[in-house]
Amino acid sequence: MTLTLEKSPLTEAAYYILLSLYQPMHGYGIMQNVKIMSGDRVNLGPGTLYGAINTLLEKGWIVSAGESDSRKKEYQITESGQKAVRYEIERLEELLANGRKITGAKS
Amino acid sequence: MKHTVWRWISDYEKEEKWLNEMAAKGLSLYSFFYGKYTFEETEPGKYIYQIELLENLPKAPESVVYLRFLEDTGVVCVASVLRWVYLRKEAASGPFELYTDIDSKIKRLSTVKNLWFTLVWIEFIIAAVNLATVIYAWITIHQMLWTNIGCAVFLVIMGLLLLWLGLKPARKIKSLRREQLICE
Repeated sequence: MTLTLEKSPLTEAAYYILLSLYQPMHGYGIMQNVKIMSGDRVNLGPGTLYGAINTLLEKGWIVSAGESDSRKKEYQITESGQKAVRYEIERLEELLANGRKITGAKS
Repeated sequence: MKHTVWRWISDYEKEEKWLNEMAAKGLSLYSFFYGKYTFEETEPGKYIYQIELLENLPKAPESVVYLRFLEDTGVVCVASVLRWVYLRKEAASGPFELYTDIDSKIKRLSTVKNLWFTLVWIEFIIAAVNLATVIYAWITIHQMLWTNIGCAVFLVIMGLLLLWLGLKPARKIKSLRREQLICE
């Protein structure tokens, strides 16, 4: 388990999966949740989601949280996963601030 | 009503496109076995199809876990041949694309590319062995082994066909890698 990459930029998929897992959720739930959160913009493909979940599990950023009522496997974010999200938010804020400063775009 | 169509399509992307065109007309694939496609009549456009090359055989534990995961998202595996699986999802539940980011698209294409290129090597190596036998026989017993020459020619042609199949995903991977430098 490597935790050294906590500060590297996250992919859009990883970021939204981690955000979804602040509460336990199964695969299909994550897909639906990401779709709603992004206002229909991000549609995670099940193959992409499966690969991302496995990588996040290997990193220890999420863990299996048992099975839901419908016997689907659920996942949940861990402490190090939350840390990665916080770093990402800081990074995104920096990107936003610089973007706004230079282009003059309003928030 | 069931409809059976015999067809041989070596390019899985063309095959996928054809299956989706059939589904749009109300003929949905529900079983496939080496060139034999069986369709069931459904309402037009009920299903969307995707073909995937798994990394392991469908019965392998890794694949079972993956296919179970897909099932939980509404994706059903209707048929499989070797490592190829034929997946479908009801169109009413939204778009169906297995891979939605560049990284995983490259991974999917690499699996296909590796399969074709491995087969290319095998064909070419066996062709080379045949040719070596021909030359050896000519030098030692002054006999021309026409059967082996025939085999070698056939294997080289097959190898070139597989090479052509493998170059398609290889080219796509190359252009996606370039895109990856600026996009996710």
